[in-house]
Amino acid sequence: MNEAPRIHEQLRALPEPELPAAIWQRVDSRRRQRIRRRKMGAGIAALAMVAVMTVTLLSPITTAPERDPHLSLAGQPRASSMRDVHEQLEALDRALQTAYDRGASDAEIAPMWVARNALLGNLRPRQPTQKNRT
Amino acid sequence: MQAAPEINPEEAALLRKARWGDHDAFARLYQAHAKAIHALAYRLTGNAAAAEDITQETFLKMLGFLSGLRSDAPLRPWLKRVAANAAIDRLRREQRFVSAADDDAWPDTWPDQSQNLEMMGMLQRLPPLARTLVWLHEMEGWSHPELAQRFGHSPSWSKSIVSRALAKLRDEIGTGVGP
Repeated sequence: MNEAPRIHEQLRALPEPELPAAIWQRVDSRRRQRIRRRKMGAGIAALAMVAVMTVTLLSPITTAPERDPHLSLAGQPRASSMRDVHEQLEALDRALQTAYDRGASDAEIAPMWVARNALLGNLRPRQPTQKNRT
Repeated sequence: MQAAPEINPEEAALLRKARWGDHDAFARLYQAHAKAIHALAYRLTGNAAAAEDITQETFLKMLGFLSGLRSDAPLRPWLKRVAANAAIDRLRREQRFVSAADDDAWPDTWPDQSQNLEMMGMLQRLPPLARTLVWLHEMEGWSHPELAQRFGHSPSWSKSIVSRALAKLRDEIGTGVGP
């Protein structure tokens, strides 16, 4: 008999060693550890984003009311400012989508919705200030 | 190389789910492949603790690469390649002599051949480097140029070690040592 196929056959026929259950426990524990770390990182990023947006949204309040930079002569928000808000909204929507996809907690998601609602409020056209014609 | 395994649609779906953090999907992928990966690691290293470490390392690497893994390609060959590379790295770390002459793969003293009459025993009695090369070439379909490249040697180096190891196994079978 040709020995080469016989060796191959015998190698193939070797029984597989028992898979120790401890390996899955180790893999799973490392997996959970990584998820916790990623969630923590994402939470910090979301909080940072909310903080940046809060500062951005509050900044018009802290500027002089007569010279509101967001208002054009017609009393409408300027185009560049509107673009900024839209960009922020898109970024926030993406962050929300990612958060939902990875099953983020309500505590993480709630501040993002607050920031989104505030941004939407900013999109509503402001009433032009009534000037006394006398 | 061996024929490309067929794509399993269920596996592709599990891979997509695992990518989105689905725990059960990852667990099922582990269940489907862990035994084969552990067996390969054990054959290549001949060491139970090393096989456990390599299996763990392989699945953690898979976890890290989930987003980069193609769901239209079977997972097993990728896992096997990762495990084999881990085993080779380990072998090279543990045996600095891999970079030396091929004769170094063959120690003068052999373990007592009256022990362990099975093929598993014969395989275990091969020097670690020879065992790894034989298994990768004979069972996993690695070509000599591939082995040579991975070990940083010439294909003739790989051919020489594999043929000597096979001759040794043939000898043992021929002289009645073995099943």
